[in-house]
Order: sequence, then structure tokens, then C-alpha cells
Amino acid sequence: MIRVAAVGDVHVGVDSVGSLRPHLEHLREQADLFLLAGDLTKRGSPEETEVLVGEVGGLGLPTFAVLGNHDYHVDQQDRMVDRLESVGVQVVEGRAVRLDVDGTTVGIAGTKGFGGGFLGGCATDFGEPEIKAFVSHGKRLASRLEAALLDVADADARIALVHYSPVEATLAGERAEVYPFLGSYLLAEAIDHAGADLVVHGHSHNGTEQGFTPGGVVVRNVAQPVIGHAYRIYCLAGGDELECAPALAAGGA
Amino acid sequence: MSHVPRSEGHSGLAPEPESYLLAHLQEAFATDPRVNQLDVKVTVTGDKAFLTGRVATEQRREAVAEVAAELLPDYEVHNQTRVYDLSPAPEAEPL
Repeated sequence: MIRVAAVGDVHVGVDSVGSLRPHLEHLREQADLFLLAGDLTKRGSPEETEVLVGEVGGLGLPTFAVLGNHDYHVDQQDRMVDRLESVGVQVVEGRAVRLDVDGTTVGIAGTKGFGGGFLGGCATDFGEPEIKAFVSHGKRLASRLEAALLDVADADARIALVHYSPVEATLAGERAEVYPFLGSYLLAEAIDHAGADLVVHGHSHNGTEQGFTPGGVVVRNVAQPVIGHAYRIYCLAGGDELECAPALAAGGA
Repeated sequence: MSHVPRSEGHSGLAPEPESYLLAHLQEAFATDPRVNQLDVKVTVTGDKAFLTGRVATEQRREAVAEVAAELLPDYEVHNQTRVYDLSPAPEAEPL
């Protein structure tokens, strides 16, 4: 059993010092790995990044992240990646990592992803250069995710970590008009082509936690406003409710 | 501080339509460094503006009301946003 803790859209600001950390202190007793699904900060400033690394760095369990759109706002995303990596948070943008959990190999592949929409409401790679740039950005990141998942095709379990949603199901609750800004079927297609056991995403604050790709891969929207907690824990690879429950109780939080 | 047309009228000839004001306020919630949030909902009834949704901190909850008051000076702003509960989820989900 692999216990996966996940949250997205924590939107750390300079006013967030000490807001997350107390809830994460026991996480290493409750989970085998921790996923951060983007929008880690309010606007991506260096000051917010410093607060962020204090909140999520050095938690004592393998921690992986992708950035979200908010983290790009002031064009300091490279600095944020460097600082996260410096405190042990691996940013898996367009790449995959392998992790051994008690003899089980877990592959984690990630990308921010992008919008573009879903069947019947998609932007297409046609027309003005601005539209083509929008669509091609999403295509490029989906393609990188597929390649990253294939890089860890031999893992016992594979997780796709993205910010934008790969499916409409986890957007239920949002206005349909904004779906093209919340996700893209291209991500789901990439995931279904390459294969995965779990997809974790954020970005959609008014969406729904549970969904599936057309190929049957489990999708979870872990945006903090959706899950309503500091994080959620999912048990992969043979876990059942009896095994999962003590995992949480052990933390005592 | 965000700068948007005021309700007194963009041309001086007619009041700014309410829908434009609300669209500008949504834009301000996204871009104003005090807030930077895209999903605070604004509902206007008569001269009252209700703000709903969830925000990360108490300071940001107050900022949402500040920005709304600045951009909707002719409305009575009711801030009904809430701060997230950050306690750990009570149970794990087997997949």
C-alpha cells in the first residue's frame, strides 16, 4: 500500500506564515509521499516563495510539486523552483522521478498543464498567432507529461501530478463557460496513452474532488477549497479501508 | 490599487452598467496584489453587494472587502467570504 498525501492551491502569501506548517508536522507518519498540485503561492513573488519553503520544506517525507498559474504571475517561477529544490521539494515539471516505498516502485510524472477545453468546447490550433500559441502551449506540456509517464512505465504504480484538470468531471460546480481555462482533454489523452494509476490536480476551486479519465484512470481534484482540509490521503496498490484508516490515526493530528 | 471606471459614468452621460462594474471588480480581485484570487463571487441585489467564496487567510478576507468597497463605492458591501479550514482530512480514501 502506498499512502499519497496531496493538496493544491494553498496560495501562500506573506500573510500565511505558520498557517500550513502546524498541520503538516505529522504528515510523515500518515503518508509515504506528499504531492503539491500547483498554485503554491498567491502571485509567485520571491517574498511569498520564502514563506512557502518555510511551510513545506523539510517535512521528512518525499515531497513533489508542480507550479500553477499563480506561481508564474511575477515571472519569478525559476527562482521558486530553485528554492523548493533547495529544501527538498522536487519540482517535476515535464519529468518523472522514481521512489521506492517499502519495495514498491512509485513513478511520479508532472506538468503544470494548461487550458484548452474539452470535447465540444475546445480551442483549436488555428487562426491568429495568439490562439495558436495558447493551444500549442497546452499541447507541448501534455506531450511532455506523456513522455515523462513513459519514462517510469516500469514502476509498480504511477502518479500524474498536474495543476490544470485533465477531465470535465472534476470541474463540476464551475461555470461551463470557464472550462477551457481550467483544463484540457489533451492531458487526459496523454495520461491514458502512457498509463497511470492516479491523477492529482488542482486549479478548480469550485469543482469536485472525484473523477476518471475516459481510459479509466482515477482523477482527484485536491484544490484546497475543494477538499476543505490541509490535505487528502489516498491509498494506492492494494490498500483497503482497514489499512488506510490507521495510517491517519497514527499521526494523531 | 486597481483603477476602473466608477459608477458615476464612464462618459459622464450615463451610469456605468452594473455588469461592467462587476466584471471590473472580478478583474481587480485577480490582479490586485492584496487579493490575487479569481473565484470570489459577487452578487448584487439593489444597493447591496454580497461577496462569497473561500480565501486562504483572514488578511485576504479583509482585502477582498477593501477592494470591493473601493470599486463599488455606491454599494453596501457584505463580505460573506470564509477562510479555509486547514485541518487534516478525517479519513484516507482507498483507490
